[in-house]
Amino acid sequence: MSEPLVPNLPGASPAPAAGKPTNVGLRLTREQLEYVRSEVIRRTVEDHKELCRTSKDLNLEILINDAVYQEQERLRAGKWGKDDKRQARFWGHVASQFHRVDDAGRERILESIAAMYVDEIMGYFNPVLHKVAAKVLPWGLKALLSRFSPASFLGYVGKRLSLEENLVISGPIDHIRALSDKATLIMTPTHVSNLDSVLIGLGLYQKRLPPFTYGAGLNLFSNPLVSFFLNNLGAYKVDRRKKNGVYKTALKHYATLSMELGQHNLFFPGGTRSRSGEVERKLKLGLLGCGVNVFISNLQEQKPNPDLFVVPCTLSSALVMEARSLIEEHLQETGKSRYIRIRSDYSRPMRVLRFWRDLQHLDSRIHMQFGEPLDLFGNRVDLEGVSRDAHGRPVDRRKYVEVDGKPEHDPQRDQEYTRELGRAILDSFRRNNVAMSTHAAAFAAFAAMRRRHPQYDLYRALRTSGPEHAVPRSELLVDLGVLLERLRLLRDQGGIVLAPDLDRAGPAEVLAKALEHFASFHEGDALKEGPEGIHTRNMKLLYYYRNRLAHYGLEEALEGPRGKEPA
Amino acid sequence: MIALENVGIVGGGSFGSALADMIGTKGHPVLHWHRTAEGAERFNATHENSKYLPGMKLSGNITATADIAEVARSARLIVVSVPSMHFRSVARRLGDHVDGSQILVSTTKGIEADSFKLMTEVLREETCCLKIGALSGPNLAKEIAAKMPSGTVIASRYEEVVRKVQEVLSGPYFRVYSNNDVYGVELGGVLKNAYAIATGLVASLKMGDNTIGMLITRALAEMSRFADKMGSNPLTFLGLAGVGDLVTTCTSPLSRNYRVGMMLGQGKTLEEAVAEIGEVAEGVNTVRIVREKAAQLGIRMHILEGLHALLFEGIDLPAVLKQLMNVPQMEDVEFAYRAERGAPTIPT
Repeated sequence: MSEPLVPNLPGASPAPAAGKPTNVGLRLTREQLEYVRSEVIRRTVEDHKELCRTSKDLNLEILINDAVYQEQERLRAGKWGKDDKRQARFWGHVASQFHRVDDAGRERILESIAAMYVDEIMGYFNPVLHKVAAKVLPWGLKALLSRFSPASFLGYVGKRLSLEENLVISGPIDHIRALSDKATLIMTPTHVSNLDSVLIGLGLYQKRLPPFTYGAGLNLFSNPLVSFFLNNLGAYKVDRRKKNGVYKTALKHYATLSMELGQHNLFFPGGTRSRSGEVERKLKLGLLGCGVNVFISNLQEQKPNPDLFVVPCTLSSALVMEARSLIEEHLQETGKSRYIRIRSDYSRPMRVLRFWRDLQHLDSRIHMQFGEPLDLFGNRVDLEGVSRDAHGRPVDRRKYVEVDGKPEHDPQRDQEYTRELGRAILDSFRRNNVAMSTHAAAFAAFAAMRRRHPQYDLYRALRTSGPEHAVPRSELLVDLGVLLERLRLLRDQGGIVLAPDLDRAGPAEVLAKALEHFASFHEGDALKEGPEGIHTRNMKLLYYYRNRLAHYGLEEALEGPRGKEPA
Repeated sequence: MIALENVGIVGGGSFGSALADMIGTKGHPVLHWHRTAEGAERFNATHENSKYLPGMKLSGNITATADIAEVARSARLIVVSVPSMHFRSVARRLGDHVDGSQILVSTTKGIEADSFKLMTEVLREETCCLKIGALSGPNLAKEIAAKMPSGTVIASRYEEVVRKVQEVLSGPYFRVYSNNDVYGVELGGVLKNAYAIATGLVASLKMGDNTIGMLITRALAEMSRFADKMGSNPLTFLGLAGVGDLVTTCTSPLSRNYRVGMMLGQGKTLEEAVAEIGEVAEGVNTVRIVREKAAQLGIRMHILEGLHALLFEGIDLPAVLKQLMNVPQMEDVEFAYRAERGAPTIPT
């Protein structure tokens, strides 16, 4: 028999299984960490062995071959960092060995692949550092986001940014805090900007909510300072470039184990930042689906607190730092527009600084609006942790997963339950979206500009920028008046939240505020007033901001028949 | 021998009773909910649905009850078969007693006027149950009760629902196919009712088989177009719940909607025709509701427009026919045509 392949990578050797700990916070002991690590490896290997057993067309050789191919392709395409070089050696070694060994050898190779992944994924949370990080964050955010060195960062400490004043946190916070003692929470925010995870971390701390573990993009860890903050705000590493099944399975098991241990989890169910500017309309349900599996396992093991609840959270901002690049990417993805590569706004330190400065100068707010907590089946959960149906009748959650009176896993059924949950989360996102002056003005202006060229399709219309396409101020104010009326009606029905600057202001005030915002950060490109009237120098940017109010049925009032939007 | 599970049937109409009989004949105990205690007692005394299936002796395994809580307590599979206008209120009553473990299946081919909700959506809103399905196909109650061979579709996102319904319903004279496009399957059952009025009318005027053939095929095109716009798979309409149900309903005098059309052709008013049928002809409401929705979404549905003009706008048949024969002539199979040219969407 061939020797097992264990490439020379740190932590790649299988660890002995430890006793299963339960009900821990984010702080894991060395023993617990070892337990999580060995369980992720074991479950990942078992899942793939099961896949091979149940599929006629799969075996370990094909699975490893697929992982090798995808990883080598990724490494070929990406930048060569220190870790990438090591990984290239690893995959080269795997590639030269896996077809020479028998199935037992391949199983060990799979183990070493899973071990490499889990070592990359695992975060290390220190509660003392968490407190320090959260306190330092308002000062350090600027440095954190602009990728300054720790030395430069120290120079900025004195110039504290008033993050607390710019972040408005609303929703049933006491309710969420109460439930966090009774159950494991899964927080699911919308994703607007790269600033989101840091803002949420800070918001949770400010509201004395418990820390959440969350998956942050691996690229954010490349800076030692950022890495320090993220590790100590409860982050684990997610590399979105890794698409192969072994990695995804390991990641899923890591999140599952974390939930099994009772750690509150946070992930962005949209998967990535909203490119179009719209509130999320589709979710990636993979990680979310871990919740129902953990719930059933908890019931089977008769844990005292088996429940997991979901807390949707909608982030809304009058200005978005990366708006230009996001909408470009969206239009490229939809495949209807010629792609023009531009630099990511996030990669420009000066832009980050200016964005933050402008936000304060404009008295602008980022809204973090929590929705009502939900159970894993999409029912809302009351203060006592009781699920309620649409008519407020109590629901026994266990009944959903019982077969002949006993909790049972049923992957197909559970996947559908997660779809139901996804629908409820999307509904919460929409209802808790905070509409602001920039969104309303962009929406009305975009509609007015499109009315001027009814024969143009969207992609042609997106090229109609400049003063020659200006809309008279009076016309725009009439549209804005109609829109505000509709928004207030929608708000009264619980369909949306209005920021204070939209709540009572008239159309002229709303327009003035929006123009002030756009003039400050986007140099007036999104919307500008000139002698010809109100116009845009970048229709795509205007489109991005108007999209925040898309799909609420508001189009009808300003655009005529619906159904003309791109998919 | 293992005792078979209780099955609940909510609704004492013709289709509910025909299904109860089919399930009871297979040996399952059936708890059959009737709206009134008198109706339930009468059924238990005679084992006959004297109003809707007169003269047919139904299975002895059926027990009628007016206690909906009893149905929720004792059955894991509950089939809801009540007219769409009462569907929400009955579903809400059922919702007071189910606990989420039950499977709920709607057989009602109707649509809620104000909300444009289909019946599985109503079940989802009014109960805490998630394992929900829709049963639809060419299923004339009288033929099923007479044990004539036929087939149906169970549509659900949950395999458990499909398995359970197939296990309980399929038998020597009834086949149950599956589909996970719940909305499409339900929509097929809703839309065909409207077109049955048109074919009934054409048949009564003896316009010929060519006309019927064209009418049914173009009705199918309209239905698929509408379904596509509503997010369903237009291919669902090639199955039993689409073309199967459409052909049956549009050619059978047993269909209530077809009979409404025939009476209109004989010169009766809509009110007279509906009164004479004595049962709910869902198609009349469907014309109004779907036509409004199609207008909102900008979907061209010429036959439906014609029906609306005839039924509700006082336009006479020759004028409607003239208008229909003069609409622009487009491609025959538009989905194939567009797929060939790689067009991303179906134009309206």
